[in-house]
Amino acid sequence: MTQPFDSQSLGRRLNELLALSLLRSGPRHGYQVAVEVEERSGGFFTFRHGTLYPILHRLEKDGLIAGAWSDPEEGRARKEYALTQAGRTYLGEAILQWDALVERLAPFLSDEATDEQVRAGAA
Amino acid sequence: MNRFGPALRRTARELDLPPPLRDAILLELAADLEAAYLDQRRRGRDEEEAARRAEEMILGSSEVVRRLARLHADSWRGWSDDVGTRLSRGGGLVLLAVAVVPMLLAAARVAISELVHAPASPLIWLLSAVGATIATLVGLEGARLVRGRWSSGNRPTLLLLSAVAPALGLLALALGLRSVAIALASESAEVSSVALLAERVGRDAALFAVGLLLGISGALSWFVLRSRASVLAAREADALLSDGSAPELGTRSGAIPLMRRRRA
Repeated sequence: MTQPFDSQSLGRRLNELLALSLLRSGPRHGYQVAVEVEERSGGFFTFRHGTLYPILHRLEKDGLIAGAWSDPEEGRARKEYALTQAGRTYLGEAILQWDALVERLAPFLSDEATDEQVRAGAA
Repeated sequence: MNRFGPALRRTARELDLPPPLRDAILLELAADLEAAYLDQRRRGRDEEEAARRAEEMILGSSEVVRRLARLHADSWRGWSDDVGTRLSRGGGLVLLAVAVVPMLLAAARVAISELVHAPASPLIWLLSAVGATIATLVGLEGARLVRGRWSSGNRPTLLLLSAVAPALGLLALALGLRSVAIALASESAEVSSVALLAERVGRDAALFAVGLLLGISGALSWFVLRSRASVLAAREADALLSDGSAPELGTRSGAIPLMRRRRA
């Protein structure tokens, strides 16, 4: 039986999912993560005002991503994050949970009577 | 003058953490601020607008910064880095010269002696390779730090090899003792062979000592190198937070370059 969903942590888990899934395709530094999330979602998801950094640092502390300083020939060293094996496992489970969330939410959103009221209100 | 200096100083004041942890966070933010600024400039924005957007994206409200500080508040690394930084300022390089180098030389002397005089254990080859690698990594990392590159290169590998070396030495000793025990238990053991077996035990014990010396010297080197890197990172962070009235850093004795120059 699927574990009950903790709706209070919805926002935090969404942010984790965005960051972890982006890092699946390769290491990135914080700004790259923020820009790519925004671009790939067409601006729907944005990280502003430094909100990404507590997320990345917590993921690193939990061992789901690993931070490493780059060593460029010029310019500042930058901290890049890469998904760890534990992070890949966690991401796989998180994706399944989100699929279950969407599936369980659908009955609440597809009530016919409600649909008509919504349409009438939107008109 | 650093265009993001005032904003970084505000953030630094709110990051209530030991200096090494605070500096690491500030350096990360500074690097991403520059990346964001350059990206915004590439998208056609003027300097002022690009800087504003970069700050808006990268730097947090007081609540976000406090959240970041709380996340790291219980980190042991802040304490150990702080101790290490003090040690490094006080004489980390002296420790390297007085303790680590002699240990490496002693280990090398025993290892070479074993290799030259018909090795008692085949593990001496592996132990010698580990020792040579430790010495090479210490040299390479030291050279990187002298050039001002504080970002971690091979230090994790150095720490790993420092754990492997004593394990190999212990394995060599254990296998040697096992061989001796088997030989002694055989019915044909003679007095002269007992003497030879005793010599063998001594040589295996020497291998264990080599492994131990390599492990201690590698671990000490890792600690000193990491501490030195923290000092360099702290200098770079200080430069970021400077309001421009402080003297140019990098002009002290040993002139360590803080940033690599950008191409024109």
